[in-house]
Amino acid sequence: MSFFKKYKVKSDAHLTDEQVVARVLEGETALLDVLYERYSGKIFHKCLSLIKDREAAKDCTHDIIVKVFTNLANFKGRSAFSLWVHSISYNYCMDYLQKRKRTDFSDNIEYELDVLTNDDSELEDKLLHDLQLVQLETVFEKLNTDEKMILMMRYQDNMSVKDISDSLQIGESAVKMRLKRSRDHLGELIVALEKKQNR
Amino acid sequence: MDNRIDKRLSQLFKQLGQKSEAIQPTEPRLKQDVFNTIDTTALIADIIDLFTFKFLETHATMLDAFPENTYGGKNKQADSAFKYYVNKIKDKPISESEEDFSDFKK
Repeated sequence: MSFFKKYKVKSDAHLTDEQVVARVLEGETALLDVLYERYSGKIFHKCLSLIKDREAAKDCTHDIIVKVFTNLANFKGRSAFSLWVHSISYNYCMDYLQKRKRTDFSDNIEYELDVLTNDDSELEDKLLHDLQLVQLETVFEKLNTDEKMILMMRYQDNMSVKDISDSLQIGESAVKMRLKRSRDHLGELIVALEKKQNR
Repeated sequence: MDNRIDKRLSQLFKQLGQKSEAIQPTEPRLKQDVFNTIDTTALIADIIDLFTFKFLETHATMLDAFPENTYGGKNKQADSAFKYYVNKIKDKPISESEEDFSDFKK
């Protein structure tokens, strides 16, 4: 019998992540299953978005979950458990990508498009405001990996600038700068998409 | 940047994540792999524990079982030093061990 089937799981749907972690650390290791169900999909989606390779994303998801589960005792509860998991996931993906040297994590983001005019900037703001999911899906794939990562951290995982700064171990001003650049690039891509569609 | 744009981006990124999770769920095989790895890790940790801490604990228990010192009083220093280190490993209060160690220090 598996080590993690030894304990009987009581009703757990109402438990917060932090409560689940506390009970796992007290010995109810079967509750790891709850954490797996809550986070595996999110982690896999992040890995797939950033790595763009299904098999590699699967391997990374495996490693990240094992890392999270075997380091639960190191979770001090200073931030939400979800933030802790997301930080581990992003950092793991970043390390993986750096090892593969598929991406450049320098501050220099190369823009594919020409510098925007003032008129375009206004249009960009309007388009960002009226942005639809289909458009975001289309342009998201054209973003650089570090741009995707920082936008996902901010808008998908609701991480604050400080959380992102702690997670990536860069200054808060650097985070703000990267966020701005990434949003600008997203806006440019949307403008370009809109222009293309109107032709 | 307009707050409304931030809110809109937040909504859309969340929808994007949910949609992606729904379209491309993780494979059941992955779950099995993860828990197998965790099981193996736990087993290895148990084995290491068995041959380090538990091994010494067993020795300490055996020593405690003897009415006299292990070396029959012939090598009291070695006996007390051994007990001192075992107690330290077992996280016993140092004061308890120091008493034994005092013989060793002489």
